[in-house]
Amino acid sequence: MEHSKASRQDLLGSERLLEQTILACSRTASEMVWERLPPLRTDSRSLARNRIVTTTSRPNPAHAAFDIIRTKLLQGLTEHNWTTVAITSPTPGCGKTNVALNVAFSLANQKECRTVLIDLDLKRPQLAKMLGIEAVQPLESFLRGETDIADVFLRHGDNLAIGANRQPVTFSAELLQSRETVRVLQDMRQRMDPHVILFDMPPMLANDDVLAFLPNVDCALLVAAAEQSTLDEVDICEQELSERTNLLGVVLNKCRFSPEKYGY
Amino acid sequence: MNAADIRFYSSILLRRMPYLLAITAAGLTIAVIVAFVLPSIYRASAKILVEAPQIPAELAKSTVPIEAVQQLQIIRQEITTRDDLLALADKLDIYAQSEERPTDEDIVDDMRSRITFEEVELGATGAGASVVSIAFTAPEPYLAARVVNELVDLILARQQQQRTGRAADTLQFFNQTVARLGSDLNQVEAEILKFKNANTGTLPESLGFRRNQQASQQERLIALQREEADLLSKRNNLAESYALTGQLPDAEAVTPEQQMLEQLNRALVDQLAIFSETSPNIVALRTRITSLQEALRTRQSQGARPSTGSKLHSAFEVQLTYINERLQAITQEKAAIAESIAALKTSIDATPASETVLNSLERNRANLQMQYNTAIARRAEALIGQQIENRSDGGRFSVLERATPPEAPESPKRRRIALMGALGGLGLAVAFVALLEFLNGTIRRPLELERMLGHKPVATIPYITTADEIRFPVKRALAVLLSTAAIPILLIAVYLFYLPLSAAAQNAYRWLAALG
Repeated sequence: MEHSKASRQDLLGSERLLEQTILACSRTASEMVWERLPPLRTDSRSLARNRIVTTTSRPNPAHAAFDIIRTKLLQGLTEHNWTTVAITSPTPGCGKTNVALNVAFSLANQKECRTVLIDLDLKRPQLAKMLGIEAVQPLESFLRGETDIADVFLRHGDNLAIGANRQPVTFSAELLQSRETVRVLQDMRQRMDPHVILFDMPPMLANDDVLAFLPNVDCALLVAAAEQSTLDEVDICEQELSERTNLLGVVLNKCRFSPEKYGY
Repeated sequence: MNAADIRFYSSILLRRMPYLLAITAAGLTIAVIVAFVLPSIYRASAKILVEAPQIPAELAKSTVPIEAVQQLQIIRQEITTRDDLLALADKLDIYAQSEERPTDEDIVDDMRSRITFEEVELGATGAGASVVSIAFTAPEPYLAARVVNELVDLILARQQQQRTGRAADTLQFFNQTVARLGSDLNQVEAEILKFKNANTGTLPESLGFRRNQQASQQERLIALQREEADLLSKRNNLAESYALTGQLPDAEAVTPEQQMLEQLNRALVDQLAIFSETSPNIVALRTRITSLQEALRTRQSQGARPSTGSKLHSAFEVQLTYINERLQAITQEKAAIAESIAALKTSIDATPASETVLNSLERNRANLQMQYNTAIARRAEALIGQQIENRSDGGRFSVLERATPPEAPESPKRRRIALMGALGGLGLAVAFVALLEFLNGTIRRPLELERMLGHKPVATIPYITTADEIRFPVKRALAVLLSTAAIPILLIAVYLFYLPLSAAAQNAYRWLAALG
């Protein structure tokens, strides 16, 4: 396992070298891809209703927490030269999508950092609903390589691309483990050249989607919801994630009890 | 436990406030309903002073020397008998309110449980007196007071009846004894009288008289014997002298004139010693003597000549006859006296025997008399005792305080029940929340996650409130209030529209009371 992981690291490292060599010529290509993405129109009221706090500058204790996550995430990624992050949780409703969106918007505030967020919770896609995106191509067809990046991704500002989805996929695990998907994602990564790719994953204990997709990510972030997730659940998921990939850490969401009150 | 923990737990309680409020409100409501549904029970009580005899026992004894407290115990047992209780319940219509008349057993049990006798301690001073309180509980104040007063009257009447009854019994007993002893006494006295009548001659009290009589008879006998001897010798002398001289030895003196002359001469001598020769008495006496001498001289000169011989012979005969007659009379008298003496002797000899019999009879009578006297004295005491009892001056119960209808019910203590309901509800609510937290294995705070993972979580995102939720404290509080209020309202509605709740509560209360 260690060996395979190490070899994969090597592989990725070599790919990165390769990428860096063709960086000069591809940079313009990726910029062109980014520019071609249709812009994301967000409704600030809708965002506020869906608890997206990082788009505004309104002082919110959660905003600071998301910024902390962003910073720690970037530091971790930079340290290990990682790009892809799976955001998952033990059970549904822990706020994965919310955390993913908030972190994504927080990352977007980091101007030199390009971020891609893809909704891979194929059974119950939430991202589009949260953002209030009405018409969007199904992600399934993109993952099958049937549609282009520009058909599914929307651009927020200059450095955040969001791949939302509105149509549930029945055989999501199979799709996620298919070679085509892996290839499509690899292709997307090459063409868009993001610094961070966030995968909004389904809950771990609900189905095997996460297990199926874990080999394709560099690291994982576990979202636990206070007063919802039990210690046992978190323990199981943590062990699972530690075995299969690198666990960036656990985020405790929805915490109503804040022992430390830092005031600015 | 540090400040953070305390804040944590208090925040949990704050979060669970709806539960707390709802359960507490439910508890309070139930308690309040129970408190108001429970029937009011009024308790009336009266006090009876049980005191030592008012007339000291040294002066006049009561005939009922039972300890007053003991007597009260007896009376208590007596008035709580089944029949008495049933009679009381009927008389005062205690169970008029119940739809159907309970069984006699139930009535008796219920009445017994509602009557309380309590001895009120008077402290160390209460050696002679004690106070007993009698209480009764009833749904109505007037009924409670009436029952208590009835009980008090009953107790007093019973006590009076008991004591006077006993006193009367005692008196009656002594009356009977006196009557019996009196008749016995009469009988014995009749026997004595009969015996005395039957044995008049041998009664010891006439013994002395009889002995005297005997002695005098014997003396008389001796005198007679002496006279007899005298007469015999006189007759012999007479016979001898007549045979010798043919003359009587003392013929002159035998005529009455001669005797009178001698007497007059003797009187003249006596008078001359006192009076002078010329006093009229002496003169009269001398005149009578001379006239009598004249008469005698003439009679001698006339009589001596015609019949001297026959006259002498007939005088001798007369004297002899007289002596013989006398002797004969003496013999007769002697025989009579001897007979009388013999009779007296027999009577005297029989006297000790009859005395013994009489003594035993007398002793018997004396015994009876003594008993009779004692009985009479006792009867007098009993009479006094009865009067004491009748006057209620013996050791007695007196009513210190009659029962008055209580103003406030003794139970239920509505406020207390309500308070207890609220407290119980709160306790239940806290316990419920604690149980909820105990069963809840979810993560609550970063500390728990940290303990498990061994390191801090990447970040802790506080709960993000949306604009709607910011407005929502008001709404939420309203909802909490409404839901909290809904429970009591529901209960009250159930109570109002489904009345058996009150019956259920009563039953529950009875059960509890029975258990307690």
